[in-house]
Amino acid sequence: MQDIIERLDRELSAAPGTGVDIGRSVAAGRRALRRRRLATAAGVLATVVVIGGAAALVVGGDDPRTGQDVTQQPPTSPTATATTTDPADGVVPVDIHLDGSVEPATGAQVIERAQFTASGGQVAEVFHLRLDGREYYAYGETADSKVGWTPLPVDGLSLDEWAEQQLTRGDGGATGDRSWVSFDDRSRLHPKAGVEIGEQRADPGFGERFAAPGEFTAAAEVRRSDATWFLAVRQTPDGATEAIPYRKDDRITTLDAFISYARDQYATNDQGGSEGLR
Amino acid sequence: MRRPSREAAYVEFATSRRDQLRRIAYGMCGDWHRADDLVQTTLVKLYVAWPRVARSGSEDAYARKILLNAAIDASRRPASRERPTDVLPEAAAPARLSVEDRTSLVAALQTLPAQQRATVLLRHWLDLSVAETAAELGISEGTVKSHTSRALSALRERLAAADA
Repeated sequence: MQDIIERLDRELSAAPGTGVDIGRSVAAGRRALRRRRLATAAGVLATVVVIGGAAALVVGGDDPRTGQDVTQQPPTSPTATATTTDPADGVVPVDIHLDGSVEPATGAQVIERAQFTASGGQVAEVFHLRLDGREYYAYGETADSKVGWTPLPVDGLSLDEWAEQQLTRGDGGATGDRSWVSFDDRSRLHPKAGVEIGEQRADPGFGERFAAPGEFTAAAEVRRSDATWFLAVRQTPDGATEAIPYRKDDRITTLDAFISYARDQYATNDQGGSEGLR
Repeated sequence: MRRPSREAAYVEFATSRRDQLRRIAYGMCGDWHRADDLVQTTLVKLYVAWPRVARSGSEDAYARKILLNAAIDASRRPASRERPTDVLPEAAAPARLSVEDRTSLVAALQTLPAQQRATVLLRHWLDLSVAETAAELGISEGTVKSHTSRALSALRERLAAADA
């Protein structure tokens, strides 16, 4: 036995010069981390006022070459582009530190902070905070090194409702939620578990900023978790059904009012983008 | 802890463990260049997971786990396996080890199944306990013992044949 161990030790110790560059690992790790955060942040920030398709979404991070904060370009989608005039540009309300702690940005006034466990088991630290004159909901999910935030108001959602929505909709920057309804092959909506459809309208005319021509679209009024929601629904390129929920409030009380509102939100603006519902 | 000090902790860890990880990787794949690639991949994944890994105090085990999984995965890829051919070769199959490799223990290790290789490295080179090895490889302690026993006898046989 000992002869084998000694031999092994001798051979493994005779290592040639290393080709492993720690600096390269740090740079690649930062990029990987940033991609993860962007995937989440791009989805969350789709709720932010949208101006131009090419506008910059600002997510803090260090440039591996300079160590300075940099601006990232997010993937654009019909609903998710960001603003250059948003006063939140350059602001990251929360960050996950490498020691695993989730902390609000320096200068942020924390209005509410809690541990939250989503229905899918995701655990996150959630915040309602004020920063540079704006209020945000934000979360940090340590297990996946993900953060996200949305300036208020958020369709009348409570912090827990917002966090549930963010944490359960998955990676990839998707702006819609696939857990509400599904289309059949005649563009009729069917409810998923826990959802009850009250009224639905096929092809509500939300425009090309909402869905590509030829793809099924619909609007619906539904009940879920003892609340009433309006949904803007579209078929995604992979054939799935994606809904963008809006919780019924004092401002929008009927499906017609929601359709009218959603049409305005998805109308092309002067900068070629659209506001979107999120 | 702000980013510079967080990264300093990561860099310190990565720098101090790089050589050991390279040696494990080399033991697993028998090629220093591929070993470097495996370590590089491991360190990037470790960076991403650093917050929770550092918090749990399991940096060494986690880094080795990533590395061994990557090496075992690589050994399972089709490119690493035998490939079917239309025509059988006329010549007899070459010996498993070349002349210069016959006395190399690392080369002999490469003839073992990947999990046996990992078991030998963790148990006998890193001197981990049966329980620690089982935890890192995600297998039972009994399997660790049987892997170790089979691997050591196979290595002895091969080295004895080479020395003869």
